[in-house]
Amino acid sequence: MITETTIAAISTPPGRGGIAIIRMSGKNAFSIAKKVFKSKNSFDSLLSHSITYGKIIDKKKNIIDQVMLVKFVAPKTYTKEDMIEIQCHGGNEVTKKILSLLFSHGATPAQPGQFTKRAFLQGRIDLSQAEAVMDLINAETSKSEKAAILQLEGSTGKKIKEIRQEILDILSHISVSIDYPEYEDDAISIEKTKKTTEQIIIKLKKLVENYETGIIIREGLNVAIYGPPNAGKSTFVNKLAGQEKAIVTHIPGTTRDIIEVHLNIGGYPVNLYDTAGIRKTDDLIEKIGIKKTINAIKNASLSILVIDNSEKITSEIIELLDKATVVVINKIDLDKGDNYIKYLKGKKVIKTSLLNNQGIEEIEQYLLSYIETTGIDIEDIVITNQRHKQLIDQALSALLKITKNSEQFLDLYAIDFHEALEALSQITGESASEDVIANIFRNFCVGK
Amino acid sequence: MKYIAGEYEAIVIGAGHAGCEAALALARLGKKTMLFTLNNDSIANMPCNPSIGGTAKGHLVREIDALGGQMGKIADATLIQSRMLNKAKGPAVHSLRAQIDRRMYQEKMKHVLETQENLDLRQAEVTDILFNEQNEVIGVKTNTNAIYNCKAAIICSGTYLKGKIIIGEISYEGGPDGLFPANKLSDCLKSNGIEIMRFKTGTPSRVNRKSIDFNKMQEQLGDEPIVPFSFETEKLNIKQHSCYLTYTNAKTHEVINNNLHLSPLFSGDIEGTGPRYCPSIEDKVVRFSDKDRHQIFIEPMGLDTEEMYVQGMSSSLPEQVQDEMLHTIKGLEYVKVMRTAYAIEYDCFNPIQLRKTLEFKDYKGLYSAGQSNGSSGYEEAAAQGLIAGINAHLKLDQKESFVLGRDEAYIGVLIDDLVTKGTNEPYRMMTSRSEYRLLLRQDNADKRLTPKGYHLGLISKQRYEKYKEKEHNINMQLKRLKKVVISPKIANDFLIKYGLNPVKSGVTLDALLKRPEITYDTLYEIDSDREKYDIYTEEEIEISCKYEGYIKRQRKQVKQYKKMENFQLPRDLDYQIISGLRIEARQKLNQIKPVSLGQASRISGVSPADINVLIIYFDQVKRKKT
Repeated sequence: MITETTIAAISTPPGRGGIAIIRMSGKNAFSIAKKVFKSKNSFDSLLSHSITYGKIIDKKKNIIDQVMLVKFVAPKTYTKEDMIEIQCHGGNEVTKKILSLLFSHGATPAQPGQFTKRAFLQGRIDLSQAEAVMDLINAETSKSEKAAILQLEGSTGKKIKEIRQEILDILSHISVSIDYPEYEDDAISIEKTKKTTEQIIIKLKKLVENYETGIIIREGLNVAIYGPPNAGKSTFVNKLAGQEKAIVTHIPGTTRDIIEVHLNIGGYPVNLYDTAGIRKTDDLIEKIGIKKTINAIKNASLSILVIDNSEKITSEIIELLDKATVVVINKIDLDKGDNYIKYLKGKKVIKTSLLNNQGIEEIEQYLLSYIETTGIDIEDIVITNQRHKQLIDQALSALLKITKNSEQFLDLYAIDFHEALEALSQITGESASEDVIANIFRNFCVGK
Repeated sequence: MKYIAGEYEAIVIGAGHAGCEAALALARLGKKTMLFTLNNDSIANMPCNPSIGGTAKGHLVREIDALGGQMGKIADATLIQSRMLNKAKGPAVHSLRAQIDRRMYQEKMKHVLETQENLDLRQAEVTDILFNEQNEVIGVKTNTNAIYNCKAAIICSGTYLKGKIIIGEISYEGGPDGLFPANKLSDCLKSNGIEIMRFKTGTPSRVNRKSIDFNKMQEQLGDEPIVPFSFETEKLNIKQHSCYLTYTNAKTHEVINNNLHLSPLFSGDIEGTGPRYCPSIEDKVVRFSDKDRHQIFIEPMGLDTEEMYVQGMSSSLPEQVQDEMLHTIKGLEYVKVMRTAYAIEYDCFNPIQLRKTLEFKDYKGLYSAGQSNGSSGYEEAAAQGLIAGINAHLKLDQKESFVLGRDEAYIGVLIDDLVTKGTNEPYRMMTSRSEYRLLLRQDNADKRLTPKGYHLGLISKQRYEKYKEKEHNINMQLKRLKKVVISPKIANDFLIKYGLNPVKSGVTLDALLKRPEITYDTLYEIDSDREKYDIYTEEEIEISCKYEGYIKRQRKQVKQYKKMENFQLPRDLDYQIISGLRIEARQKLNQIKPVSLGQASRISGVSPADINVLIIYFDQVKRKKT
């Protein structure tokens, strides 16, 4: 009864690391891996306990990541079941994408301590450790429950609770219609049920549609820094970071590749992308650098153009001005008389003298207020927990069945509502069946 | 002076709906049985609604009948109106409800008891249960100091234990319907260590038919033809009698609001927990103040009486206020009250002290069934009585116990809920409490339970053969429907007639019947050579075919459920020693001592993580042994 499902989870600690490891265990581990992993040799021919290079591809044949995969053939594995380990690039985004791909092929999220539990039940772990295993399960569960509760305290949690309540209300309505048929006032029609369901579906879809973008925002606001060479972009980054991450020299074109710096501004993660200076050049490497800069600007939520107050504007810069959210005019101490101003109408402008630490606070304030104003939206839409995502998907598929159902009996709709309610209840940690009955007596005046 | 008055294998205390079923089951299974009642003239009484069945309750009656119980048969013989509820809401929730001639029901049940072999019926109040040092039942003692020896005793004390009647500020010791309470038995049980709870329920007033103006009310007719409760009742041709619907109004609510301070419910004089589903009218008016009216049903109490039951007006307000509020209602302006509405408080047992056989875990041979277990309703009581009777019999014979699963019967859901979760109000059966209601339909109660009833010895060979024939016919037809292919030409004429899209290739009867617009009856138009069966067989064919998909889905869920149920847990385990469990889980598990992992998972306070810990713990134990 315990080992029927195939479980998967990220085994490395959360956060950024060079690589992350995803583990999967169970009778379908190989068939699932076969569907997502492409290597030179066929999956079946891979040897047990040996490492293979390959690509993870999604259902649309897009490459998600280049990874190393280890196949462990049962019973010589940790859980004594067939196991797969995928070593992919670190960073939550890629890892979670791979994991959710495994789920979409039929794996289920591992509960806290479940790999160890299986290892124990299969006799892999010594009897003397049984107590430790049992302690671990509750300890891990309470840890992950705490984490989930924290996530649920925000407006996302509120939203899910609201939606769950809506489903609960419909189900209670159906139950009242059935259990108290003499109270015709409280009857609910199938049409109305379906209409409400459609609205619930829209709300739930919005929650999961934003799953991907939710992650990006949760994992940091991406800010691209660009501008002409030697305007002070790297100084800008270093000053914000408070340490020398980017190499700062006076030789134009020093930053040829993109330097990524992760900061914490007012408690929010911010990722700065320090790019190559933009100028006319014949240097091939520098040209590649500039191309990368343009890409970085495209991918960032916020682009900051840093210009040198003492230099003349070039046509290359004017071209890129449009893309800037903020323009930082640096080196105001070297006053040569506002020579950019006429190009900057309608732009947010911050004047700085970075070397003298002038204007840095204003930049930080600006970034913070940017996050906090757009952040209201962000909070609202973020589903970051993989398990929550899967449960919402489950609820969605049950609700979609209702809208497609053409049965004429109300009772036949209750089954799918129950499934949806059950799924959302697992997120909010409430009991579905007891709540329906409590809800009936709370909201309907029935009984002799 | 005490004296030994008799020697019985089993004794049943109380001849309400639970007691009657328990005693009959025991006697029919060959046990020498005594049934005690406080009053021979109030056997199988209905002190509240003069009706049997209703949603989920109708299912219970059919299940009782399918197992060989009595309730359905007597209901069929004494009903004066019958309706099949929820016909438009789905096959799983069709529910029979009948108005009963209350007196006739009592007399017929009494006569069945009187004529039953192995069964003695006697009027007496049992005051003590006698135990030996091992806490095993050895007999009972009555108020006349008579001792009856026995090995099993089933308490079916309903609402009689320390019954207290409350009408406004007036309260007195009393049982339901003006009968005496039983004041001693619960003290005896309490002193033996049994946990007692205090519950509350109520009943509305009864009024005289001749003082009602029915022209101001809506008449509610019965359904034709009548579907009987019992699978053994062939056909019912009776004249049906009507119920009537009226409403409370703003004036009624004003009277109630002006007198709320006189209600013991709001002043705090009532300590017992009342059921949420059976609120008094003052409760409804206070809690749902946005509603400008509440439904009132007027139901006949029988054919030879003018008394009418006023459903919806349960109250513990003072008598004069009750009169005043009744007179504000359309059609009841000049009504004459014959019995005043009252609330009743009574002792009952915390049901988590019971096994699924309804035997007390710590007292061998002592059982409890019905309202004394914190349930409510005649049908819930009868179902428990039957199960307690069967299990007392099996235990006396040292045979394996008889427990129904949540996937097998509403009876299984009822008992599992009571003994696993306990209850803090009188427990009413509802379809919403069942996880697998597409499987637990009222039409297939015989399929689910009659073979079991036969093997227990409560169903006759003849009835069993008849049941088997029905099953055979259903299965044959279902197979045939899947096999017979209708040509597009014939099928399309038929489909178009019912407003459906035509097909290009041949289609099976089964596929046609699965369309919501097609019924087994209409299918006859293109399948006229088929065998003709009675309506119940044909109904089951139709439902089994039409809802095959849903039924399969639920069967799959049942498979999961069964895995957890089949993981058995030892009764004697001290959960305190399992360190991985959370403290609350240890306490709850020790209190309930679940028989299976499934039951453990339904205990509130036991989390999925605790269940995982249990799995590991028992695996460890198993490995240590080998």
